[in-house]
Amino acid sequence: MSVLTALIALLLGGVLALRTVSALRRRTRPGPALLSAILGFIALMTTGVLVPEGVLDGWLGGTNLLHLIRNLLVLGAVWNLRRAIALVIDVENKRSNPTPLLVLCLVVSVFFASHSHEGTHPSFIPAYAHLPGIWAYGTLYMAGVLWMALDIVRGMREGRLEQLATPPRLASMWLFSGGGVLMGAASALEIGYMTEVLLHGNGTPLAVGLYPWFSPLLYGGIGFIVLGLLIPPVLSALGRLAVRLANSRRHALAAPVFGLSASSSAIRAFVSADPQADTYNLFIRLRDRAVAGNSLPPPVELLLQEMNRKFTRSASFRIPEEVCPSELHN
Amino acid sequence: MSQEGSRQRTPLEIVESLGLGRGSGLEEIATAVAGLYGKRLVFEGLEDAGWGALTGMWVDQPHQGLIFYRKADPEAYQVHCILHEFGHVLLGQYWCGASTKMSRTLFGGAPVFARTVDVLASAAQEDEVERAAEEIAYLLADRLHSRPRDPFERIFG
Repeated sequence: MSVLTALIALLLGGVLALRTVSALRRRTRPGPALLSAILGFIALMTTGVLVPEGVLDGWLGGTNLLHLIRNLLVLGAVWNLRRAIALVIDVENKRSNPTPLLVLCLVVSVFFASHSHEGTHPSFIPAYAHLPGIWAYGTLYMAGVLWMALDIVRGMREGRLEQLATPPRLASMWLFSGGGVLMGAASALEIGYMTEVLLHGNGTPLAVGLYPWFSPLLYGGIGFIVLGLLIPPVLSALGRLAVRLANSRRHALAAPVFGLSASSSAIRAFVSADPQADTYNLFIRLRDRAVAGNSLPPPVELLLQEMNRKFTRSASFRIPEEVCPSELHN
Repeated sequence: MSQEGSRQRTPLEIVESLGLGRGSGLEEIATAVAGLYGKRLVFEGLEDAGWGALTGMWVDQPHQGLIFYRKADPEAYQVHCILHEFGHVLLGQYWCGASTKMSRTLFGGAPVFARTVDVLASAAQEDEVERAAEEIAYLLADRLHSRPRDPFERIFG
């Protein structure tokens, strides 16, 4: 297991932790991006990040079944990523039909089972690619990854990127695209390598020259994708932290008006279940006090103005002159 | 007046019945409320002086509802007071007797509902209708101020 794999697994673990917290907080079902991260993380865990590959495969009977499971997980992860990107950039074909993926997984599994391969082998493909069934297994798997990786890049050309609006979002999408290119290159190279091994054995100069390029390209591509997955939840988490800190500061500033301690108000506001609603509540309570004839200290007056600006930033805030009953609610 | 059996609807259930999503505009909320009310709602800003602790008012006239707010207040507070009056309009539709409990008759006999901070201060303990109207105001404010999540945020955020 390389340092690069361990680093990618660590980052992907971070994505998973942030996304899981977010999904639990919002009580939402895992979407395709989270599913992609979960499947990719499990796939990375099978490369010996925590438990050596041989030990894991030994638990499964020592027949290299772990290799098949990892490849199926990767196919699932890339398919879900492709679906997530299609949903976001609104391409015409939403890539939602899982039938081609399921057929591919089934065919790949059948070819994997077509030869006996007892004894966990750390370099499964170099050792067995000369067997036609394993060549077909590896080639179909890599062709599947190549097709989906290139489709991610194609989707970026078809999709409506302008609706992503912010540079970090665009950066994520370009990282996915770059990851797709690298994974596609790794897949094409591996198909070439396996074909060379099938036809001429794994000792030829071509096979020896191609083999070392596979892992850096594949894991480089996965690394790009993981970085792309990491940016949005990290920015969301930082945004939520900023809202909590601002709520905390406002409550600390207003605490003397209500005869409360600034520090305990700040702590309570920081851990509030809904800091946005908490800030709004503070704004209304402060203004109610002012209307009731209690004068507010100048810093709190300024705070009130700041909160008013915050809550009126939206254009949909204008008070209408009149509204009539809509058909919908009659 | 719609009732769900003998059980009184909670403020949350009342607000949810409007079918408003996150990031609904004030006009959208007002239109939904007017839809349940069955009359048009007219909004009028009151000039500064002489209103004391009164921050908002709904006059339930036979052909329309008049909602008054104070121009001197910060805009977000004006809107909150309007949302409080929406609370009374909605409670009038869903709660038996809510429209008679708090009404005063000033405008030629039409029932008048007012948001005053002194009443609100005591309402927390005593007045169920005022408390419910204020709770509805907060729930509507949450719909108004929370931003809808776009596809990118929903999927990757």
